[in-house]
Amino acid sequence: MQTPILKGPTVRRRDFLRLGALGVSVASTYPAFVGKTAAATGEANPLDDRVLVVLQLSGGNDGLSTVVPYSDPAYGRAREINRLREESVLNIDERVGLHPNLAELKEIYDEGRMAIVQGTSYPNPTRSHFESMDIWHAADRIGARRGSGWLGRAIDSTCGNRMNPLLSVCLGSEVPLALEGERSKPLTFQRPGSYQWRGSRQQRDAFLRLNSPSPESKTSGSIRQIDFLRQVAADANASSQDIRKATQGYRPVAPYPMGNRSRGNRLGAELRLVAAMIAARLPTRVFYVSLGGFDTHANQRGRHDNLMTILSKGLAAFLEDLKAQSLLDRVVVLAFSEFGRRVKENASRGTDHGVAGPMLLFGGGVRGGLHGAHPSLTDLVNGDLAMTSDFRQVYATVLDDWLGISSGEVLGKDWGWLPLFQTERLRAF
Amino acid sequence: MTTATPHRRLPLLPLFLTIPTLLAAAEEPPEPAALTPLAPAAFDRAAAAHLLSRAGFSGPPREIDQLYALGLEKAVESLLEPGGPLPAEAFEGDTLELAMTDRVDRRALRTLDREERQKLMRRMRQKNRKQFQALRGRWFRRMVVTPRPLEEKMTLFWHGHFATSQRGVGNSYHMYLQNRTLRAYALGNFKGLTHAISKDPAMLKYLNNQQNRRLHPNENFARELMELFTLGVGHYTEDDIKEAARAFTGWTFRGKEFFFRHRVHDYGEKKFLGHTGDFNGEDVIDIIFAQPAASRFIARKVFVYFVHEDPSAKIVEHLAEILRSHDFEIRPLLERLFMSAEFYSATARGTQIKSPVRLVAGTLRTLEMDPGSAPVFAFICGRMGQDILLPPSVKGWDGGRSWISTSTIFHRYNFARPILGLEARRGPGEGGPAGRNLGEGGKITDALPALPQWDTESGRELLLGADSAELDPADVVDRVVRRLLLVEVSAEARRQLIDFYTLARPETRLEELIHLVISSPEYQLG
Repeated sequence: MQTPILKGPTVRRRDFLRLGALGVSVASTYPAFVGKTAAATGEANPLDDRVLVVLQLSGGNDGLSTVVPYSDPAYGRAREINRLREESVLNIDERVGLHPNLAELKEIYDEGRMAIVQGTSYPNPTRSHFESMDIWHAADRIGARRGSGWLGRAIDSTCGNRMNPLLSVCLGSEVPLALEGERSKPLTFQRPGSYQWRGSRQQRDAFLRLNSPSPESKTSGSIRQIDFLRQVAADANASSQDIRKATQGYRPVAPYPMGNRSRGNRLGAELRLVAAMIAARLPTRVFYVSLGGFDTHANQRGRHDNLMTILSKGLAAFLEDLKAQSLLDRVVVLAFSEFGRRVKENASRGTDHGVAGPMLLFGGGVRGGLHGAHPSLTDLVNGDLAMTSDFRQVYATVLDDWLGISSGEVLGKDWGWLPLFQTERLRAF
Repeated sequence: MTTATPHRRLPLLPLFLTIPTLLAAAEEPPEPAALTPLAPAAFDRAAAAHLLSRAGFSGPPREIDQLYALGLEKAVESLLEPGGPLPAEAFEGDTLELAMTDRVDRRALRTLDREERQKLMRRMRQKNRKQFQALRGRWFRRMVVTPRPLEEKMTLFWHGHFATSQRGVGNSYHMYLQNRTLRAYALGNFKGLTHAISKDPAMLKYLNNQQNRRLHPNENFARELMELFTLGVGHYTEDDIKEAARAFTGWTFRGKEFFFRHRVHDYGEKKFLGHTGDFNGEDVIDIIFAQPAASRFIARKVFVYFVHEDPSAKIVEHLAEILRSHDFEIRPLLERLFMSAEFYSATARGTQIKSPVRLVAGTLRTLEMDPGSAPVFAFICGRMGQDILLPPSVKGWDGGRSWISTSTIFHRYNFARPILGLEARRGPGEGGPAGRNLGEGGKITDALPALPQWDTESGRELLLGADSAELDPADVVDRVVRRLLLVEVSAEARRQLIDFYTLARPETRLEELIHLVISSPEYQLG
C-alpha cells in the first residue's frame, strides 16, 4: 500500500481555480528537498530517503532496569526493592536481559533489528536535568550555551540558503535544542490540527492573498523583512497543508496503542503521526518525539514498569506498521536519556540521578545486538556506573553511516565509529 | 546607587560635526553621518506613531495624538521622565513571600519527620510555582497598562541582557527581586545596574557563583559578565576570566540578600585587563567599565533594540561617547536616539520584527483591552518563543528574524482569536490558551480565569467611531488598517480585505477583519 510520491500538496480542481488567481500555487513556494549528493551528481541518492526518529526519554531512564545485568550479584545487592528477578527478565545472554515489559521489543531484538549501546555518557558528567539534556542536544558543553544542536547543525551543513521547512519535525510543545541550527529550525506542533491558520472559509481568500510570497523575492542575499515574512508564511501554509493531508485519514497497517493523553502517554499517537508522514513521503529527514516521566526518585518500580510498557507497545507498533508498508529499511529510531540512575537505591524506593546508561537503536539497516561494554557494577565512580562509550560516537555513526552527513563538521571532531549499521561505512562525498 | 547626572541638551552637537567635516571635505568623500538631530517640523503623526511603537508597546490613536501634540522634544521628555504615581494594582510584589530556599525553613524542616517534611516541601514547591506564574502575569499586565511604557520596555531589555531564568534559579521571590532591580535601573545607570546585578541572588544562583570559592573557583559568572554583559568576545583573555573569577569568590547570597563569604574569598593579587591589584568584584566591574569596549558594546545593543540592526561604526562610536561622557547614564543616550533623524529614517521605520511581547502587548494596547494578571499571555508569548522570566539561556533572545519560523507564525496569527470572541473560551486541547503543558514552570492546574472580552458594541465604536453604521466597507477597512498597521498594505491586499468585509457575516465581520490584519506579514512589523 504505497502512496504516490508527493511533489507538493495535491491540489484539487476547485482549490486550483481559487489559487489560480494568485498566479502561483501555494505548493511551489518551498524547494523540494535536494540532498547534497543529488545536488552534486544530479541524481537522486537513496541516502536522501532515509529518516531518523529521535526518541527522547526525559528524566533520566534507569538503564539498569532497562538492560538488566540480572546475573550480577552486585545488582541484587544494590537493588533490593527495585530488583527485577532473573526469571522475569527477557534474556539476551547470560549477563543481561531486557525488562519484562519490553516483550515486543525483545521480539524485534531477536529479529536482529535492535542495537543496544551500553554505558553511554560523556566526560565530567553533570547531574542536572537541564544541563545534561542540553549537552546531549548540543553534543558539546560549549555548544549548550550557544543555542545550536547536533541535528540542526547537521541539516545546516547539507542545505543551501533556502531550507525546506519540513526537513525536521518535532512533535511536542517545546522546540528541542537538538534540532536548532543557524538556519534550520524544526517544525514543532503537538497535533496537526494546531499547526494551521485558524479562520473561516470566508476569510481564507483574503488570508491567502495577504500571505502569498512576493513575486520578485530573491532566494539569497539580504531580502527585505516583508519578503522574508511572506516566505515563511507561505512555507508554513504549504507545510501545514502537507502535514494535514499526510496525517488525516491515515490508515496504519498495525494497530497503535493510543494511550491516555491527559496522563502524558502520547507516544503511540505521536509515532502514528510520524508513520503517516513517512508513508506520505514528506521530505522530512528527522523526527523528534519524547516520552517523559523517567525521573523516578521515589517508588520507582511501578512507574518505570509502566513506562517500559508504553515504550514497548508504542515503539513496536510503529516499527510493525513501517515494516508492513516496506518502509522500515528507510527508518532508524534512536532512543536516549540525559543520564542513567545511581546503582544503589535511595531511601524512597527509587533511585537518584546517575551517569551512564544505554542508547537504543531500531530499524532498517541496524546491526542488532549488544555494542560497547556493560559498565562494572562494582568499579563505580562516585557511586555511579562509569562511562564505557561516549554518546558522540553513536551520533557520529548515525550521521556518517545512516544520514550520510559528515560528522566531523557537525560534531567538531572525529569521534570514531561503532559498527551500528549493516551497510558498509559509507562516505557519500 | 549613583545619582542621576542631569543630561545635556543637544545644541552643541552639530558644531562638533561640522568643523572636522569641513576640514576633511577637500580630501575625502563625506563619511556617513553619525546621529544628526531630527528637525522638529519633521515630527509628524506618523513619526509619533513610530516613536510610541519603539519606545513603548504602541497604543490607541489618542495616545499617538497626545505624543504628536507635544512635539518632538516634549514627547521624548515625557517618555524619559514620566511623573505621577503608578496604579497600585500594577505590581503587588510585596505580598510575595520567600519560597523554599530560605535557611530558616531548612532548620525547621529538620524537626519534622520524613513524611511531614515531604508534604511541606511539596506545598512549598507548589506555592513557588504559583507565585512564579503570578509574577509573570503581573509583569505582562504591567507592560500593557503602565503609564511608563519606556521604563517597561527597558526593563524587558535588561531582562534579555542580564538573562536569568527561573529554570536555573528555582525561586520566584528571587526572580521578583531581580525584576525590581532591573526596573529601578531601567532608565538609570548601566554601571550601577551591573554592580547591582553582580550581587543579585537570582543571578548569582543562575551562574553558579555561590559555588565560586578560592580553592575551587567557578568561572561561569566572570565569563558571562565580560562576554555577554559588558565587553563582548575579543576584548579580554581567558586569563582575565580566571582572574576575574577569583575576584568574585565568596560572592553569594543568604535569604533575600547578597552575602559575602569572606572565608572563601581569594584576597590575593590579580592581574586583570592590564591592571594589577588585590581586586574584588567591584574593582573588576569598575576596570571593565573603564574600557572603551564597554560603552560600544552596550550602545550598539541599545541601538539594535530600538532602531535597526545595522548601525554604522560611526553611530556606535557616537552613542558610546555619549555614554562615556555621562558615566553610563542611559537617559542621555536614549534622548539622543529618540531625537535623531536616524531613528525616524526609512531604514528604521516599520522594519523591526515585533518580539512576541511587543506583538501581544501591542495588540492589547491598540485594542484598548486590559489583559488581567493571569499568566495566560505570558504563556502565549512563550509559545511564540519569548517566555518572560524563562529565557532559553544566559544569552537571552536573539530577536529579529529569529522570532519568525513556521512553528511560531501560526501562533502569532491565531493568538487574538479567542480575545476577539472568534473562538470558544476554552481552546481545543493545547491549541488555545486554556490548554495544558504550556511552557516551563509547571502546568496551570486551576481553571483559567476569563480572557479579556472584546465587546462587539463598544469595540465597533472604539475602532470605527460613532458614525460606524454609515461607513462603507472601504472606510471600515481603512480605519482598521490605519489603527493596526505601521506599514502599508498593497492595493491588492486592501481590495481583498474590502471584498471580504463586504461579503462577510455582519455579526463577526469586524472581528474577522481585525483577525485578518493580525494574520498578515505586515502586522509582524513595527
